[in-house]
Amino acid sequence: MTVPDRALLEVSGIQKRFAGIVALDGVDLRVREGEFSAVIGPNGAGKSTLFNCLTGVLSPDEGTVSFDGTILVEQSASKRARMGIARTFQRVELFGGMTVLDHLVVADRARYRRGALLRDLFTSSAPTGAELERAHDVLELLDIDEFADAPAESLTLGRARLVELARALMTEPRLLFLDEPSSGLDRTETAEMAQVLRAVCDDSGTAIVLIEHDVAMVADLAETVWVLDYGQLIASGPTDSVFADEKVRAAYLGVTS
Amino acid sequence: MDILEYAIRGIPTGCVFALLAVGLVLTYKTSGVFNLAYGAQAFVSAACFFVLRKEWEWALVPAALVAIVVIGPALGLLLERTLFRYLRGSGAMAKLVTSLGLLIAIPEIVRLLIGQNAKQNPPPLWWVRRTDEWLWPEGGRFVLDAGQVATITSTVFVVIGLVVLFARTDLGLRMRAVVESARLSELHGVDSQRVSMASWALSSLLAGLAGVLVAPLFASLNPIDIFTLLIAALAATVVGGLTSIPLTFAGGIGLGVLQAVLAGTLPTDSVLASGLRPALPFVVLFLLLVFRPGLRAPEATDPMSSVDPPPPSPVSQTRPDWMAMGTRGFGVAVVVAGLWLSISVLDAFWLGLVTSGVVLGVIMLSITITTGLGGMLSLSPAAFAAIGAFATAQLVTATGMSVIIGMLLGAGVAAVVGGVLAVPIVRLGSVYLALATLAFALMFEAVLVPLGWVSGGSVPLRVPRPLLGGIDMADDRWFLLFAVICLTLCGIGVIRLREGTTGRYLQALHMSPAAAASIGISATRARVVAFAVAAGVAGFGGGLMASYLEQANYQASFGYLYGLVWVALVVAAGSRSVQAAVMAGLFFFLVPALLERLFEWPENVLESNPDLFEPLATILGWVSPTWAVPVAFILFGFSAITYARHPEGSIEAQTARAVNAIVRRVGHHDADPQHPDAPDTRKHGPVSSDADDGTFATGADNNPGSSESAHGDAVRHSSRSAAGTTSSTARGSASNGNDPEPVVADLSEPAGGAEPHVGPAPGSTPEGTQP
Repeated sequence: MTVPDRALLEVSGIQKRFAGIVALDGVDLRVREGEFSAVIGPNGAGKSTLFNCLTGVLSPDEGTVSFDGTILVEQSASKRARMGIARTFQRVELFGGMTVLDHLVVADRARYRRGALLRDLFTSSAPTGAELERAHDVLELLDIDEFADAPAESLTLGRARLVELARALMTEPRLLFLDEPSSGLDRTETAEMAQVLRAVCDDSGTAIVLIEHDVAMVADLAETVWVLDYGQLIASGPTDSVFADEKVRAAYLGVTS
Repeated sequence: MDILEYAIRGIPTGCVFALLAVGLVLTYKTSGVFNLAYGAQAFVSAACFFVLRKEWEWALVPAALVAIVVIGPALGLLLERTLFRYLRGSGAMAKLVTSLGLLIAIPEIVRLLIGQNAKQNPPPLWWVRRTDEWLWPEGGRFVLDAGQVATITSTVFVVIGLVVLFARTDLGLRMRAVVESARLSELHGVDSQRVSMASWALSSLLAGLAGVLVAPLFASLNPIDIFTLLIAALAATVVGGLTSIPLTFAGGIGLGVLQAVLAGTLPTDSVLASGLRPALPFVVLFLLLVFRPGLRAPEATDPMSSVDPPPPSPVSQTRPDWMAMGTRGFGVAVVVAGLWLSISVLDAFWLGLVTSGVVLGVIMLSITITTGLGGMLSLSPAAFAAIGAFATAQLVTATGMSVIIGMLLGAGVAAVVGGVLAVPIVRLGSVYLALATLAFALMFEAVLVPLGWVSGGSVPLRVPRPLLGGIDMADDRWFLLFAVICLTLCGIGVIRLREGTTGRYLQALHMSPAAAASIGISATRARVVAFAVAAGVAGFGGGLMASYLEQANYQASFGYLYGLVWVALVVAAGSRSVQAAVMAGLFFFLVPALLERLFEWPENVLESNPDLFEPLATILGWVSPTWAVPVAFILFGFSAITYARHPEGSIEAQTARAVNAIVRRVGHHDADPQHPDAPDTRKHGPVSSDADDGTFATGADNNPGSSESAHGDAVRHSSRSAAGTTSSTARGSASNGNDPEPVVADLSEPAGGAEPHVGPAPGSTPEGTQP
C-alpha cells in the first residue's frame, strides 16, 4: 500500500478495572487513516469496554489514547463525536418518535450547527436543502432511501442497524466504531451489511473498527485484526496471519490442533 | 464545652429527621418509589391520632394503635393495591409524579373528613407533658419533653429493627429482590405481590409513626409543616445514598446536631442566623446532591426490562398537513372567541380569574420546557417565577423604567439564575434532580425571600401595570389582551423550540443518551439551555403576574407548594403540549371558583325549599362552599396520577385519539403528497395512542393472548396481566433468550406481527417506559 502509514488512533497501555475485575489490561492499538480493522474475542473479553474507553463513555484507569495527534483525556463522548469519532451500538439505539430522516438531520446539526436556540426561535427549523442532500446521499449509499420518512419504531432490526450506521456517517467521521453490526441479523441481512460496510470504507475513506463474532465477515472485510482475551491482546496483525495463529484458534475459534 | 452542649440538644431534632428519613429510604428500597406522599401519609395518621385523642378522647394506647398500626398500613396497602403495583415497571418520573399527585390530594381529603378548622396543639405520643426531672437529673440542663423521649426511643427501635430486617431476614432479602426485578424474583418463586404489600404496609406504618411523633412539634396540625420537615429530612436520606439505613440514621442525627450547634454559636442578629438556620437542611441537601459522588449514575433499570414492549411514543407528531393547519386555525379561533367573550361578557370577578389563568399559563409553559421537552422534573417553577417578579419589582422601583422592560430584564435574571443552578444539577438522575430543585425552592424561600434586597421585606413590593403607546393597562380588559399576547408569543416560542433543533436534541437525549452523545450532542449543554430558558419564561410569567396583581407577593402567588401543584397540573394535562399548559393555567384558577358555585347550589335549594325530603336535605345541608378549594386540589392531585397511564398527558391523549379517528376516516381519501412511499407514517399515529393503554402495566404485556385488553381500562388490564405474570414472563424471557436483541412484537398491531419491530432499546431510555 502507498497510503502514508500515519496513525489516526494510537492507544497505548490502556487499562480499565471494575471493582477488582480487570476488564482491559494494557491494550495497545494503532489504526491508520482509512483502514478497516476488527476486534474479536470471546464474550466478556473486554471488546465493548475498549470501545467505551475510546469513545469517551468510560474513562480508562491507565494508558493514553491519542486521536489524530490529540491526546484524549477529559473529552466527553459528545466532544469526541464532534472531533470525528462515531460509533454504533450493540443494542440498537435509535431515537423513538423520530423519522429516519430526522435522525440524520439531527446528527448533521449536532456536528455542524451552532446557536441552535436563537435559530429555532427566529428562523425556520425545517431541514435546509444542503442538509437534505447530505442525508439522501448517505441514505442512498446504504440503500435505505425509501424509508426516509418511516418512524424509527417501524423498522426491522436490519434496517434499524443501517439507520444507526447512517446516523453515524452523517457526522462525517474519520473513525467509526461498529459494535457487532451483524448481531441479530439473518444470513442475507449480514451479507448485505458486509457489502454496505465495504462500500462505506471505500467511498468515504473512514477508518472503521469492527467488533464482530461473524468470523467469515471479519475475514472478508478487515485488513487488520486484534484478538482480545481476558482484557489482554493475545494477537494482532494482518487478518490472515492472525487467523492462522494457534493461540487465537484455541482461545476464540475453538480449534485445537 | 458549649458546643458539646448544643450538640446534645440537637439529638432529639436529629432523631426526628432520622425517623422520617429512614422511613423514606425503606419505601425507596422496598418499592422503588421515591415517595413524596410519605409526608401526606404521615399527616393522615397524625390527623387520625389527633381526632381520636383530642376530639373523641380515647386513651393513649388504643388511639395510637388505631392511628399508627391500623390506619397507617391500611393506607399504604390501599395505595399499593390501587396504584403503585401497576407502576413497578414504570420509570422514576411516573412514580415521582404519582406520589406528587398523592401529596397534593391526600391531605385535602383528610381535611374534608376531619373539618377545616385549625387543629391546635397536637397531642404527644406519651403519657406526660414534661419529663425533665427524671430523665436528665443534672439540674435540668438538658430538657427532654415527652415527644422527644418517644421520638428517640422509637427511632432507635426502628433503626435497629430495619437493620436486622435487611441483614438477617429472608423477607428483607426478598423485598430488595422484588425492587430489583419483580419478574426475575417471580421466576425464582418469590410471590412479588405479597412482598410488595408487606413493604408498603411496613413503610406506611413508619410513616404513621413519624407523623404522630412529629405533629406535636408544631402549634397546630398542618400537612405543609410535616411535608417541609420531610424535605429537611431528605438530606439524611441522601447521606445514606437512598439505601443505607445506618448511614441515613447517622445523617439525620448529624443534621440535627449541626443545626443546634449553628443555632447556638452563630450571632443571633445576623442574616446567617435568621436565614441559614431554618434553611440549613435544604442547603445541606442541595450541597450533598451536587457534591456527593455516585449520584450521577442513572437509575438502575430492571434487568428484564428488555421483555417490555417499547415505550409509548410521545405525542403523535405525524399529522397530515391539512390536519395541522386545521387544528392551528381552530386554536386561533378558540383564543379569539375566548378573548372576545371574556372581555365583553364576564364580570370583574371572572375576568380577574381568566386573566390570572392566562398569566399563570406563561409560567406553566416553563414546566412544558423543563418536563416536556427536557425530560427533567423540576419542582421549582414557582421560585423562578418569584425571582422574575422580584427582579421586575426592584428594577422598576429603583430605576423607574417601563414595566415591560422590567419584565424582560426580570426574565433575564431568572434565566441566569436558572442556568447557573442547572450546571451542577442537570447531570443528576431524575429523582435527585427533582429533589435538588425542591431543595432550591425551599432554600430560596427560607434564605432569600425574607431579605429586603430580594423581596422588599415584609411589605410586598409594588409593581405598576404596563403603559404601552398611550394604552393604560390599569384597565383589566386591556391587561387581559396584553397577557394573551404575551402568552401567545411564549407559546409560539415553545412550539418553535419543540419542533426545532433544540427540541430534537432534547428528544434524542431523552430517548437514548448514549446515542445522542455518539453524534456529538452534549447532554449538559442542551439541558442547561432548556433549564435556563424555562427559568426565563417562568421569570417573565412571574413579572407579568406581579404586574397584574400590582405587587410581588411571595406567599400569595409563588409559595413552593403552588409550584408543586402547577407541575402536577401540567404533566397531567400534557407536558409537551402548549395548549395543555394554557388549560392548566386556566384550570388552576377557574376550577376552584366553579366548584364554589356548584357547592353553593345546595344551600340555595334548601333556602328555596324549606320542606324538602328530610334525608336529601341532610345530604344537601352537608355540602359546603368551603369544599371548593380542597376538592379542586384533590382533582388536581388525582389528575397527576393519570400521568403513569398517559405520559403524554390526558388532554394530549384525547386529542391524539380524536385526530387519529378523523385521519382514519377522512385520511383514506386524502393522499398525502409528502409521503407517498411511506404508508407507515400515517399508521404510526393510531398505533402509538392505542399502545399507551397497554404499557401502563408492569410489562407482562407481550402476551399475545391479552391483546384485546390493550383497549380496556388499565386496572382491568393490569390485574389480568398480573394473574398471568409468571407464564407470560417465562414466555417473554424465552423468546428473548433466542435473540439477543429486544425484539418485541407490537401487540396492538396484529398485522405487523410477522415482522419483528424494533423499538429504541427499552431498558436504555433513562425513564424506562417513558417516551
